[in-house]
Amino acid sequence: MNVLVLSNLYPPDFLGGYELGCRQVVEALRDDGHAVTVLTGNPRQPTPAEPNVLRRLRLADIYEPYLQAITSTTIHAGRYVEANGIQASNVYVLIETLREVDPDVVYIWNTVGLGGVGLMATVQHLGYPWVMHVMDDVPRALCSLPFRVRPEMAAAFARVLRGRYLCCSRTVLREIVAAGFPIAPQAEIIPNWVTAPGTPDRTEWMAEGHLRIVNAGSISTNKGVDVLIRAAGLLRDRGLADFSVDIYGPGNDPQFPNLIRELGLDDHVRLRGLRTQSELAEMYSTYDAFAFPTWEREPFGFAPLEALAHGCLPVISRVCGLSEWLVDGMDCIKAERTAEGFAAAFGDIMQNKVRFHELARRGMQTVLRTFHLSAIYPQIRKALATAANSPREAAGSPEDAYRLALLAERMAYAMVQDSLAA
Amino acid sequence: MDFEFYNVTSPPSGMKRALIPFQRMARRVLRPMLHRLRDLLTLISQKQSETADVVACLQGRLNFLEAQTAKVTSEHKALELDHLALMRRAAHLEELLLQSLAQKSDAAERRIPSLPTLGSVESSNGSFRKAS
Repeated sequence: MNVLVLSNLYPPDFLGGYELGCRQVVEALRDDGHAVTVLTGNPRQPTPAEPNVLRRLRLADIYEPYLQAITSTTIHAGRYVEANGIQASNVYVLIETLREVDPDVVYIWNTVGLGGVGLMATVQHLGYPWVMHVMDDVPRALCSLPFRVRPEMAAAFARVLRGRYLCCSRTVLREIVAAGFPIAPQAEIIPNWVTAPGTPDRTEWMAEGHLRIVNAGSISTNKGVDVLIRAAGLLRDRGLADFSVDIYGPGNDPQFPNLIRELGLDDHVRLRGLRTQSELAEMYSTYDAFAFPTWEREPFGFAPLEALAHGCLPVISRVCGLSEWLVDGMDCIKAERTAEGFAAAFGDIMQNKVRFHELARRGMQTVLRTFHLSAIYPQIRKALATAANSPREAAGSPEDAYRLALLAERMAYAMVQDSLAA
Repeated sequence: MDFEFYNVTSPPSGMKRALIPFQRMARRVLRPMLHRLRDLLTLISQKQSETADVVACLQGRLNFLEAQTAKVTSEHKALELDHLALMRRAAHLEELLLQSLAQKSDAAERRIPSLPTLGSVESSNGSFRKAS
């Protein structure tokens, strides 16, 4: 197969698991003998050139907190149009690349920042079959023009864009459908994966009875870092003090160090800063439990799976994307997303009320057998091959597509201007 | 005559004095009605206060039920997700089992030599030859 991958960012420039996952699948496809070209956004920092990775698309970085803080509502709204709706210049680049590569299938990842709706509409207009890998509610984000989903936009999105969707969980699919995108008939659910070989020969947990808890990801209340810190406080107050919590990730929100100080947990909870994925992978086998008190709308989360591959047992929120893949009491522990709930779960581990070693060992085997990319990849390849074999029906020429893009861009700006003036 | 009741400022005199018997009569006639009205209003006030207590109690129960419903909904959601995970795992394991059984039966088929036909005879080296 000849595959064109579209993604807003591509490692080494990345934000999280979405982009890292994209690279892993691209490598798997190449290893399997497929020709893969990646078309992605301009990197946010200098990156070395790579063969078949074209960093040509203009990225409207709406994730940059500094720009979010200093721009006015009007400018911010304009950036949303560029990021989510359409950038005619990116449509032009895409048309040129499609002409160059002439792929059998276009494999779309996160296109927020590139004018994703415009790019997807162009692919559809030119009759290329496409598959979108959904690891977040990207369709909803793309149709937020600006700040909220316009129902007419959502309906048009689902009606016009007739590709296939690979969603990482039913949770994220339901969220997208509930936001007004009836994509379920075109969707297939494929879980996220690990690529690491793990530590299958691990035999030791909780050395000297000390529970070592780790958390990695963005440090925010959405990810439940405050819940974790408060849970640590409750554990210590109950006399179960033989534990430590290490939190890795980016974030400079002062509320978390303040909370640690306020609760007097400096000896137990440490914010350890950002680490690379490979550094974390090396460290997971030195921890016993991975705390994941994330919010309900978490689509999946790569980190707990990666930790489990190294025998670091996830203690996760009962309701989140990952909880529809791991089984409570078999290969993870699920807890109510409260400090009390997580403290109780850790307390049970420390008081040997759960068969921790057994769970960790079984979980590790499950991940390496069921969630390894080698097990997931055939499903991805099949979905791409099915799409590639579907008939091409172009609605118009590349020139038409570009003219429409220019028109749509102007109309989008006019609509946003009108809605802000109203 | 007792004028005390009407003696607000000064004893009535003249025409006002002539009105007093009528006023007294009106008072006699109206008094039981006013008493009844007072009783009714008191009763209504009591009932209103009782109703307010009942409403507060019901509001408390409603809040409790809402909290319980939210908890049960959340637990139901958690159970649903856990069940889904379990079903997916069972399906995956079943698939692996079937694959493994299929592989095993292929291997077994390869190992079993073709069955001798009726009338064949085993030779001294273990091979079969057609009986003469």
